[in-house]
Amino acid sequence: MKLSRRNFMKYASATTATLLGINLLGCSSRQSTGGVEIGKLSTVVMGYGKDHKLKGGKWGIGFFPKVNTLEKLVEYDLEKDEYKPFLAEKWEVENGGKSITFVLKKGVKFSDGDELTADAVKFTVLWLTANHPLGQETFESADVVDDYTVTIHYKKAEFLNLAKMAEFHMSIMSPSSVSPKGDVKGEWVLPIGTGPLKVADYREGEYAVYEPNVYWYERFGLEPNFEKLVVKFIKDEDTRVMALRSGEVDCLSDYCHGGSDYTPRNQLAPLRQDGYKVFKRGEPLTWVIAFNYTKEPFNNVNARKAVDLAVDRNEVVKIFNSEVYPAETLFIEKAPGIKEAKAQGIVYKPNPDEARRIIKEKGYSNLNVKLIVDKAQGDQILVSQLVQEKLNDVGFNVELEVLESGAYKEKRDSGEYDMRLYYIGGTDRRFYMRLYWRFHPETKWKVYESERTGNLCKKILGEFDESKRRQLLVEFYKAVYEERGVVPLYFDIMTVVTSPKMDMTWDETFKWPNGYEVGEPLFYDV
Amino acid sequence: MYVVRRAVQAVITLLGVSLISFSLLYIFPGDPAEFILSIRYGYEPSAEDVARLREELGLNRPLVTQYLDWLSRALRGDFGMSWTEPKAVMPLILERAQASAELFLATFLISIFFAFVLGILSSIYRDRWIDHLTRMFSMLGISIPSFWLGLVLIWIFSVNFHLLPAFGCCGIKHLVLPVLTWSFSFMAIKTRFIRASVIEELSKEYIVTARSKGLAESAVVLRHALRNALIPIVTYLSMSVSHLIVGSIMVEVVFSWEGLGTLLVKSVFERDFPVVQALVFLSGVVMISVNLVVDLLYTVIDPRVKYGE
Amino acid sequence: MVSELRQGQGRRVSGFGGFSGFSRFSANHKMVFTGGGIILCILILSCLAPIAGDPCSVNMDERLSPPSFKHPFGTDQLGRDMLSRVLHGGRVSLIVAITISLLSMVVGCFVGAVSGYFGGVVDDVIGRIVDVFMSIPEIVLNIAMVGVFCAVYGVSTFIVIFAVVFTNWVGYARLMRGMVLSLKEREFVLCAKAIGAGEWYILFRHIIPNAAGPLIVLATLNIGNVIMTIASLGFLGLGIQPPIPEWGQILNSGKNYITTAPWISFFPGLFIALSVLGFNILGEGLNAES
Repeated sequence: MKLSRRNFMKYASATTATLLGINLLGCSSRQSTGGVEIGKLSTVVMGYGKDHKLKGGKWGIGFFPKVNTLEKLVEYDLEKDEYKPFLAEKWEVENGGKSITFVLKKGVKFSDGDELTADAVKFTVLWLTANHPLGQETFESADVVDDYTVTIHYKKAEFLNLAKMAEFHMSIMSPSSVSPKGDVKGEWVLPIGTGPLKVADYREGEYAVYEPNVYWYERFGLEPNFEKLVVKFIKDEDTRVMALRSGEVDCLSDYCHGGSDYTPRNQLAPLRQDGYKVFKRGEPLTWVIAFNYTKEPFNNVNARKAVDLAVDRNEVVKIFNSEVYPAETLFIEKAPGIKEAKAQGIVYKPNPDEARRIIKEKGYSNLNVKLIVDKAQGDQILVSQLVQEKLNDVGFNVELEVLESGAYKEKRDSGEYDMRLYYIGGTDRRFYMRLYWRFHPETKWKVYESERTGNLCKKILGEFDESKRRQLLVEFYKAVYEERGVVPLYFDIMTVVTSPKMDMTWDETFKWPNGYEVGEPLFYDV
Repeated sequence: MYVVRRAVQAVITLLGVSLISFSLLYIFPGDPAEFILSIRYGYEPSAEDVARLREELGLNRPLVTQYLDWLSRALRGDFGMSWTEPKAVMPLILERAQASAELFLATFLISIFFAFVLGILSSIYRDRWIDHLTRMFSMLGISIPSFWLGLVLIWIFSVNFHLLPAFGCCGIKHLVLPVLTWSFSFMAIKTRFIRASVIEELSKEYIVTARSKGLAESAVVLRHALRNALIPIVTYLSMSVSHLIVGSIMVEVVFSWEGLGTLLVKSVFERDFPVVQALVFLSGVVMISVNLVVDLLYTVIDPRVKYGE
Repeated sequence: MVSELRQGQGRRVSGFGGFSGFSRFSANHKMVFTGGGIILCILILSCLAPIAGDPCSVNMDERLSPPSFKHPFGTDQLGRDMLSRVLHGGRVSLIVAITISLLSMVVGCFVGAVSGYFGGVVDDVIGRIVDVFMSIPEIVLNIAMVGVFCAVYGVSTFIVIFAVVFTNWVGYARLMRGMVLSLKEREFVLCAKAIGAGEWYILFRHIIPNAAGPLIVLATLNIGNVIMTIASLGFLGLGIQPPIPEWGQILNSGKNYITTAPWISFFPGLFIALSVLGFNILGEGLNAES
């Protein structure tokens, strides 16, 4: 075959063109979905970092459906430090919290049309007791008094029982959520609740599809402005942002539990600049340096104090483009007791010179300490490097270990570290629950425990009287401060980012139609 | 006879690859059953659950039995279940294979085309400016990290001029930058080889004859040298098909291209070792198969070649 | 022919026919000097790294600032001077790469020499092992190994070195085997045998030193390759971990700041390209052109 140059070129270009053409045709079969015009009935696509676990699991379904498909008996107001009626109109506390009788609102319907009655609440309590770790440790039993009145009996007599009724996990489900209906040992079907959304479709690891629950909209006198909400599970934070920018999703939401799987903070400003709407809310979630206080050197308050004085939190927040807030107190100012504590001078302030002095005096110079950080949390890697530098500046010798999640958890559980970054608090409704989980002597996820703080924590969680509780909280903050149990760094936020095509407002994201503000993003009006 | 020997060689090599892939799982010092359960539930599993899963997965059998079982299933394409996704490993891989194939095909075609053009031109006009340019270009192609080049191109075309998207999939616009990035290094390697092959042909005796006939250099190359050099060139190029499996890891990661490369990296980070195992094994299988086929075809095509008997 | 094709990347390292090392190489002088020059510059800069300042000192007020007189390469997300980080990263990359190459050379040469010299079953077995390693793309096996080990032990530089040496020794082995095979029948070896020298003695005293030439070329090219591999692993997050500066790792951390601070990714990448280029040019120059 004569292979002249011209022929060769011809053949080659022809082949290339044909094959590229085939390529293109193949490509076009994969289209991306997207939302449509503002306010019209449409499909809205959201990017979310965690699977919704609609098939259930040890801790039940995921947090997003717990917030948006189910509702709770009460809701929590952080600023007033009080529990407000939601599904329950009123309640009565008996025997110091050993039993609470709830009177339910009438005319509330589940997404399948059934009415919310005391039976449903009893079913929820019994189901949680049989299937859920928090249910198991909280409930003893429940009695139906009449169609809309139910008495719940708890294992312990404490204020925490009421607080728990605002918890994610204590959301009220319809007995139809299991099969056969109402059987606590039955097979889990889907969450059927009284919330604004109901589950339409679910593929584990890929997506969940929700539709508006018409009965909820009726209850609040609203009309849904969308037909479907598709939530795509995208684990990697950068990929999520890219999906938003490319139009593959219309909006992003942080993981509504808080503390991880959020939109990278340094992307918020560029997104705003490019016309995306960013809804941001400060949460009572504080990132802290947690110590291994069971061994040297951080079993000594002076060492912990030196660490606290060395770190300047105003620098830490710069890592996040100042989108988060520096933590001069243990929790945000809205949190109960913080204002009073601040007035008393319980404020964390840096003082590197004082830190150096302590280190020299107590002989901590060049002490080798290990700071471990989970590689999966990109921001934390930067924060830990900053912390390392600051501590090295004052005289410590910090070894930073960036570990894979598995290795991190192992070292954490076995105590092979001196410091790590962790968070206390959570969204508003978790304030007391987290206080328990972080500071109570009996819990396993605590960040700090001493006799003084442990006792105060116990008292707080048992005190129904709001003003007494507040005093105890102030004393608690004081104790943690004086002992430098943890070093607060910054207050985290909850964000929702939407494309300019969507018509959400801040109030629609973080407030129920009745005006209650919540810490988790709501999606009833997109 | 040679065929048989070669085939046996391939099988032994395959077994070796399978041994390496299999043992990847067993270097992992934790208990796979414990690990799977802690991922699934999100907390530490009870000893009974772990024991039960170990039985289910057959982890208590002697290693040799487990290896043979794994191998027999692997040869049928069954790599078990993923540890982190509720899917089997093979479907996961197949899902991603199409995206990788697209990227590879586009890069392959464009690179081969230009590699031929440049390789031939620089062998014809040896030591002139086009040759120097090509050689410099090749040098750069193998030295410049593809992940850096990708970011630079993103910066130029996406960030500054907003001409092309930096990520995402599907559609020629999304294909341009990744293909450009990968082609640069792919092309560089192939160009060098084509040029070298043609030049080697040119040192053969029959070329002297051709030249003495008074043919122009370009005719000498195209009509004589190239035809004979095509055989080794084509065999070489067909072996680069083995890049299809995970040859593009860095480019895929930079452009978030959901192919096999990003699958490998993702699985490694999530400690989804069955997938990692499968990918290592499959890349070995593809390489061995392609080499075997090419070697055997070669004996058919070029009877002059004898393999070191 | 095909086995020559599998030398990888179309690069042909031919023998020097038994002359030792440098005294008689037909090198392209220009290339040697260019390549050597580039590498020398990088080496000198890396040695001077401490003059550029502390790569880890944080200054939040100056974070993400563009290249300026004070910070010729700009600063990163924590206000650290990029010039200092890149130069210190150079030290890390070079030292680790040279370590890996040396270790690979030792292992590879030993295995290859034994395989070539003793032949027979030993050669067959080792040949198959080499085939197995050549069948899995290097980077795939590196990623898999680093990933598996680091899942529990956390990423450490030693694991990276081990994983790369694990795949890298093969090139040296094959070269060595080829050299040994061709040298084995030469007169000086036959003479040594005639006077009753032992096998190992011949191997180490006569054959290996005569293979030094091509070995040096391979090593030069190999160091460039290894630098690229380490940087790639670093870019994927599987290499040397922060706060130790490493080019690939710094490049990766700058990926998200490409719109606001492209210099964080630009300079480490530039240096990777320059070092690899330098070693490649030097290697090519040392290599005899056919």
